[in-house]
Amino acid sequence: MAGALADRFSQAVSAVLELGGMIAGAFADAVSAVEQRRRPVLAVYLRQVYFSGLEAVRIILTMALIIGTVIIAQIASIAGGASGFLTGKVMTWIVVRELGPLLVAIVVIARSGTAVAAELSQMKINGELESLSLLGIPVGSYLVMPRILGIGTALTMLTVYFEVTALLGGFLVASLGWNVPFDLYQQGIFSVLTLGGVLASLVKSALFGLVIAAVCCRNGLAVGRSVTQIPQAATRAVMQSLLLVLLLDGVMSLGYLI
Amino acid sequence: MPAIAFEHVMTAGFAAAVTFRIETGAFAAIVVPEQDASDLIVRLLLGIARPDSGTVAVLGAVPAELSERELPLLQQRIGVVAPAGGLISNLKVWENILLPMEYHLGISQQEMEERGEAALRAVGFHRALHELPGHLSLFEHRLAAQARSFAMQPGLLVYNELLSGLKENDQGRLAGNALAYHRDRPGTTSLFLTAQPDTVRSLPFDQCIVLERGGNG
Repeated sequence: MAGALADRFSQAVSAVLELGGMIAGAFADAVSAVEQRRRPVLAVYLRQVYFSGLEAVRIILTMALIIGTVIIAQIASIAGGASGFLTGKVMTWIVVRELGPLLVAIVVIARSGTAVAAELSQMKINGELESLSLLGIPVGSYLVMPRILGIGTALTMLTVYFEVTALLGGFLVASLGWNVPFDLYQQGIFSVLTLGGVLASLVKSALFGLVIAAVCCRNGLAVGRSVTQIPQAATRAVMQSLLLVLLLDGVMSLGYLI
Repeated sequence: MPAIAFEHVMTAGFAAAVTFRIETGAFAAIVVPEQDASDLIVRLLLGIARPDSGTVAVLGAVPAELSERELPLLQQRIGVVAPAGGLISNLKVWENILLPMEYHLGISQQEMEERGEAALRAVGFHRALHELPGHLSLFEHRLAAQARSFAMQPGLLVYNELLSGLKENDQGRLAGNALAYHRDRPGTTSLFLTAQPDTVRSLPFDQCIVLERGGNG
């Protein structure tokens, strides 16, 4: 029993180290791609930002509006409509520190994580990774690196959209329903919103994005020869991404409190 | 100087040590006992696989001895047409043709497009250039892959099972394209790899090497 647990633990540690290596390798490959002006790599990166970022904007804004409204409604129903200062303060704590990066990460896992894992596994089964090697194009710098950095960029941008929309849009809806006064509300926001807090939120988002992309690429590239492994790879990628994002979120929140 | 030299090459896919030479500028064929052997030869030529013993030399370099930075410089001088074409499924056909040029060659967009268009004219392929390759037949996959290789203007062209599994007319077109390109570019070495010798019997090879299960034939 203890031996099995130790084995699982060492596997988990080596997987995390491998993911760290993939992310570090992506940054090294990016530097080399910029130096050597690899235009196709830039095209893959921009396509990934478009797919994971731009195409997800509508769903992210809708979610932000709903979540912002729900949280403000809950605070107003507990503390009363006139407590605008407290409402702004609590909204900022919840949305910027926690919910923004976390909910956007969950949407990105569902939309892009599954797509990346399925796409890479299908490419591998079809022999396209071998074809790239035959063209002298390394899989790591052409397929993996732009996806890791693309999803990292997209998740960070989406978090900004989410937080702004949740704070402002949610307020607009709630002010109509519960007469929350704007001046008190914005005073509450700026009493807790610091540059450090915003940066921490963005760094957290970027980290989530890098980890999600690395997990999904790793699972996509790990398939064998059977097409039945494609959905399995996608499922594994989603579950591992969720677990790691929640773990990271917990660790970073603890760090924030300390 | 030979374009390709295998000297006592032993590796897991070969039953015995393999030795042969193909001269620069030759129109050559290697008949292998099974397709796995031709895939292995391609991988050895490109430095993706390394021999357990012996030496593989290609275009004056030994791929197994090249660094990570040097190997792509050799690989871009070798054009490979894979059995299934080897097009990338999430890129349109035209993007597939430009991909190796964009990745490896520091030439202008205009020059790349001119090379791509010339290569497409040379192989006679004009259909569905702005569609994903999933819509193409096997023959069209190979035509597009042939155009992609021609556009790179490589020193060595390797056709891995180029004619297998196709109708006679289609085989004739692909073989004709390969022969015409070879004649237009003196100094270019063309190598057909096949496990089905009937498909290449009618071609005017300068050299034909038969690898049997036990080693060189």
